[in-house]
Amino acid sequence: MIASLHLDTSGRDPRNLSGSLRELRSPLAGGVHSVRIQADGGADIAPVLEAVFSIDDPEYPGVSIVDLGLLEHVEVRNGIVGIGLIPTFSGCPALAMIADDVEAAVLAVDGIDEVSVSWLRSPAWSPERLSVRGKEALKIEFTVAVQIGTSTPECPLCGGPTVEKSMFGPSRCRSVHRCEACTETVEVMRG
Amino acid sequence: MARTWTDMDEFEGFLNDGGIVEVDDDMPDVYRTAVFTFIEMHANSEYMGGLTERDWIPKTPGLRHKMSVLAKTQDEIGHGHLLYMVAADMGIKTRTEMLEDLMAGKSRFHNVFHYKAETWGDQVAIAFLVDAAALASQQAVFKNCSYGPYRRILKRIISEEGFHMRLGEDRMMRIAQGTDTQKEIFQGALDRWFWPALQLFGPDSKPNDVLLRWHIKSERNEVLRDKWVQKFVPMLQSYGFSVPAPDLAYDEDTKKWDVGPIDWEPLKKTLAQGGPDSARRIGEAKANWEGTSWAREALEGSAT
Repeated sequence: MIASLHLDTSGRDPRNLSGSLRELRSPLAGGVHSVRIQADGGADIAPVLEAVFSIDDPEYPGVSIVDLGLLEHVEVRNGIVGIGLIPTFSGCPALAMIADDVEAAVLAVDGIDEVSVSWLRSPAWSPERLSVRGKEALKIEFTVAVQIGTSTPECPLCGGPTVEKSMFGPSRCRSVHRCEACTETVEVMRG
Repeated sequence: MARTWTDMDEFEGFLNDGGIVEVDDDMPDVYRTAVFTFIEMHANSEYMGGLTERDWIPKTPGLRHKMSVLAKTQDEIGHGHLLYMVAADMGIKTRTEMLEDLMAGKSRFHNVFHYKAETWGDQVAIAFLVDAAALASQQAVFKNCSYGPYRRILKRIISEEGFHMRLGEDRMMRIAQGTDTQKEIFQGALDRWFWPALQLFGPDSKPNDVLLRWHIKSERNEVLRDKWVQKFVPMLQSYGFSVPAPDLAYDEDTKKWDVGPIDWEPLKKTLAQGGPDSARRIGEAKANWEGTSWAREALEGSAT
């Protein structure tokens, strides 16, 4: 499944849009949500999107917040950028840090004078929003599984079925499972 | 699938070639015990650290910091949980036995959790100095760790501790740019925490340290400690704070800071559960453990 992009270009196509779309498809591939992009004519949104993609989750270095499904909308008008993100859970302590990182990265883009990053109250984040690339990075780099709905998460090491040992891992968005096949202790990203 | 080795030479050859030991391998008992003891101490430290962090949830100034303290508490307890599971899988002690030994003062946890955090400034100093020291130690273990289950969990713990470091820097920047009173509070905290943080690395590694030999640690204690000194002494000074080391000196030739002789007595006391706040900390952990026994019993009942 490829997440859809809603584009409102208010007239002419923004420059470099096709390049940006190609880049945006990768972190959205496999996710179920859509990202709304609005830009005025002539706006070069590629560097803005790249700047957002370049920000990693503070707890998963190397995994972009876009791959985790946090990006909801981007708006570029007259050098002013508005970015809407959604948190994996509302009490997440990384919110201020992520917003600061995104703001600094986008402000560094040529021609951008103002950036406002907001944390949206809806829609709620769910693990379905993770991209294929995000899931692979969590699995391979961090030995973290992902639980979609009430499905049984697979062990990132051996692919065996896991059982939940505790709903609460080191963060609200993770539980602790054990692999029934290889006994590995597995953290699972959950909704 | 379990692997066996005919003797210690063959096992050490396997480790020296970068081999990774897994839980069902027939590892030598001395290796099993050394790795288990190391992970148990790490688990205990995460758990005791989580309880310390928890003490500050109601007292933390401002929502921004309060959220970070809440999250750190959950992180530390979560890390402890994962580490206790990995340690228990080694078949030496169950998780309950490890926790009971901890409450009975029979097993160790890091020196820094044997001291009392007096003010918010102490929490800032801990997040800034102690978390950095703990992170540096864990990174050095992760780099070359020969025990697979521990290595994989360390990867995640390190990423999260890196996040704590940033929270610590954020706290430090705020207090360093604050009022004179705030700066005084932080200086007082530094005076209390500089030495315990430095001693977290431990005394110089012994030449025959099996943790180095078996690729659990990848770096000698004194090397890690020195890196920490070279980073934090100039950083604290640049923010206008003084380092509480009377013999502090800068060597123009080597371009390095020397903190002078280190008194290891305080560290020895903490390792024997005789630190300034050891009795209260362990007592509170024990009361907490006993006070929540009903929840464990209920869970065990519902799990059958």
